[in-house]
Amino acid sequence: MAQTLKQLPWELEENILSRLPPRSLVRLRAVCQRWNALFNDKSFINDHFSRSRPGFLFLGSPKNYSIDIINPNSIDPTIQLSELPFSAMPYQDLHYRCTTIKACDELLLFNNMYLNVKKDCTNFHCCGLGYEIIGRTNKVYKILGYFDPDPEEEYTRVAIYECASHVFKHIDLPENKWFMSEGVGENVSLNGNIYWFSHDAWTDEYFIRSFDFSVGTFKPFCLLPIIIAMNFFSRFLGKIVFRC
Amino acid sequence: MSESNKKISLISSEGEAFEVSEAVAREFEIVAHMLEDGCSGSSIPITTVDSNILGKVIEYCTKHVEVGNVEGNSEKAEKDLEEFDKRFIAVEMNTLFSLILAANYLNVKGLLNIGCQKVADTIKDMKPEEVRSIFNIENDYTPAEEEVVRKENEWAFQP
Repeated sequence: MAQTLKQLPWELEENILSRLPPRSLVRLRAVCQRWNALFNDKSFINDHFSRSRPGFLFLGSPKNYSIDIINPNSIDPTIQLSELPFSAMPYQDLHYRCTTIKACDELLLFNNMYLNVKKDCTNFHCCGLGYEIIGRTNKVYKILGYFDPDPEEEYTRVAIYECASHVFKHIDLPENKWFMSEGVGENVSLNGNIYWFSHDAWTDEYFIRSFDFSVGTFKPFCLLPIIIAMNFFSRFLGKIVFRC
Repeated sequence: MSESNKKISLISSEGEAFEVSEAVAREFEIVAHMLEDGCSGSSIPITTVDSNILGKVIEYCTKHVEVGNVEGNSEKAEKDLEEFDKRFIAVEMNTLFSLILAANYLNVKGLLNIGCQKVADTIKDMKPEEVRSIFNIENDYTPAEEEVVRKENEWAFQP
């Protein structure tokens, strides 16, 4: 492979790179500065998601696997199983047995994993996944979560993590007390925002809370007349369905 | 607009003429646009593509037009076409790059798609230095900078 080949124009290079699996992209950051910068670019990331092949991560103990579906649109799709080294996951899993998955359109987030924020060594716990729509079609994916509470602080620091730019944006919670007691339960992602079932212990009210990713605010979505069932949501054809 | 069995000559960069049916020539979107714009000439120069590559692109388009013309496209035909694509694209890197460049210029979407996918599949497990040589990219990191990038993304380097 040492031969020198023709150089492709930039847009073709981008076209090829947008077809690579995430792990390859991360490794190829070391190719040159332009590629490294490209992989942080929002439109490239969107392009990448639009092409990504369906795949699953199977978290087992002691081994992890990735299951990729190759040529999903072909008549004869093939399934490729590959073992992931333990260190391949840039996350740490807390409880294998209660791992759940958050879905938001074509993205999946594995819950109960938390991102290790290198610099200050605190953990960011993921609550839910959503997006903001910029310029009509561009989805900018974000993760809502919170940092390990500092014992000296009396409230939890809540933040949004922007997937494309790796930036954390802190959210001020004027009435942050509820977050400490309620947290963000099992939630569904609809049109980029998340909704979950909540109970206010002070007023003894049950309601649906929502988080709007485009403006970064929490709000009660609606009050519920009676307790239906805690924590059982599912998404069905764009409607929230409660399972009793 | 024009009779379906009309022939069109595509002229390669070396001046060699390839006679194809209009349906095949229309697979080249650039040619289709020329024809729609009223370019009535029966020979069209493709100055940036050499005979070897132009011949291959024509072979690809001919096959796809043939299969597309079959009534009630069967599963088998589609599978055959997939097999054809797979064989067609199994060429060495230099030819593959030339095919991609030609498909991009002539605007043959299907070929561009399978060509780019083939390159992606080939480089997916390669080391950065191998990929640099394939894409003819100069390493513009200082050794120290490269070390930092590799370290930050270490997990992706493990087999």
